[in-house]
Amino acid sequence: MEACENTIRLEIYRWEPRREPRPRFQFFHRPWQSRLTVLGLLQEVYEEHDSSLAFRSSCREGICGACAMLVNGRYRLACATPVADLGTKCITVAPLPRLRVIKDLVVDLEPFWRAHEAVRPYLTPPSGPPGGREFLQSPRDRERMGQAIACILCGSCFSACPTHWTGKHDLGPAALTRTFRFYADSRDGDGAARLARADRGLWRCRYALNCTDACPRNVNPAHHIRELRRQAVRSWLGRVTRRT
Amino acid sequence: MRRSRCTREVGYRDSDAWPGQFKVGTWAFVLHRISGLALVLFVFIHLAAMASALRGQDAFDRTMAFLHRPVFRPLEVALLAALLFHGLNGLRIILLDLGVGFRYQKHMFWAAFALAAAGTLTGAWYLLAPLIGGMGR
Ligand code: HEM
Ligand code: SF4
Ligand code: FES
Repeated sequence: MEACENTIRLEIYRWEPRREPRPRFQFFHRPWQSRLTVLGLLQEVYEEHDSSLAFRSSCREGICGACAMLVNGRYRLACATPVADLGTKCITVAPLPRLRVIKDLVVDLEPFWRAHEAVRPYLTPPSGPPGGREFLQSPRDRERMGQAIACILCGSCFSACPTHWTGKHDLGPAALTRTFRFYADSRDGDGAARLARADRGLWRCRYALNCTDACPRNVNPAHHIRELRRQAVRSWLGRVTRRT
Repeated sequence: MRRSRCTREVGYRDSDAWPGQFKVGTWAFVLHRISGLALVLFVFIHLAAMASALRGQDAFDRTMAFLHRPVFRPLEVALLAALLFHGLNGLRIILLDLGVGFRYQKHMFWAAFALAAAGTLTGAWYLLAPLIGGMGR
């Protein structure tokens, strides 16, 4: 590593699989600015050096999940990562691992979205709101969903899950977390069907807990997977004991 | 900016080979699976060896003599390592299933690993010392 005093030494993963046989890292030097984010850096490179650089972003305030990538080997939202927080002026960015690279930092999240769609990620109340007005929820009922509600579908946990690497994880941590989020929602009425839909991915978790390490929003997907499993076992026990 | 100066080729297809992605829990998962499969393999070998008794006492004695050769000692050490790690990490997984100690999963892995390593080293001393002393049968 070269010394980087008042400059940032930025290394960006570049690859356009359609045209180039192999990926490469491209180096850039940028002046150090303490208030810059990693996304800001990429923007500068795009505007001033190379407009062929591909990366995703939208909200630029850590709420849309578009800009998840590996920054110095850690899963981060580029827009929510000030360069000053990295503890170094040598910065390496790479796309989410184990997803197909479309171009540079943009990966194909299709499998992730398919899993998300499969768990029907929307509120399904048993009937319309009481009095035709709106659904109310007590702070205590809100508490039951915990941090699961903070997921912004960035795909980091999906990319980090070793069960997904084996190619067999149908759903992945985020879709299961989303299942839990609606299962635990006092306004939702689709509980049993939600467990049934989650079943094909629910039992594949092996507690590597990479999802929990990866999540830039401090969600603990493995914890919610466990909670869903507990509910699934309880409902199964309820069914078999009622039958006898 | 000239490409030759400012880029570094990478050999792998995408960022899959990023070493930091193998976190403690991933190693626990991989080792648990490998040790589990090794134990299954052992069960079959064990059954085959025991089944030789069905072919009479001589056949069984010959199998036993074969298995007592020194080459099998290190394999026994490996079996011990697999069993100890799998069992101890199995307890970690059971605790996690019960919702206990998510926060300490890494500590629990290192505890399982250290206990398994200590047990394996102890066992290895008993299993291998006679060989090193030139007393292997
Ligand atoms: C010493 C007592 C043992 C304990 C406490 C134990 C515990 C466990 C646990 C908790 C799992 C589930 C892993 C998971 O959900 O991620 C597991 C998986 C497994 N066990 Fe054991 N086990 C023991 C002995 C054995 C033995 C003797 C064998 C071989 C015959 C074996 C073979 C396996 C295999 C093949 C798996 C599947 C591994 C995987 O899914 O990655 N285990 N064990
Ligand atoms: S749980 Fe965390 S890592 Fe997974 S998609 Fe949601 S925000 Fe991203
Ligand atoms: S651009 Fe929306 S989370 Fe970063």
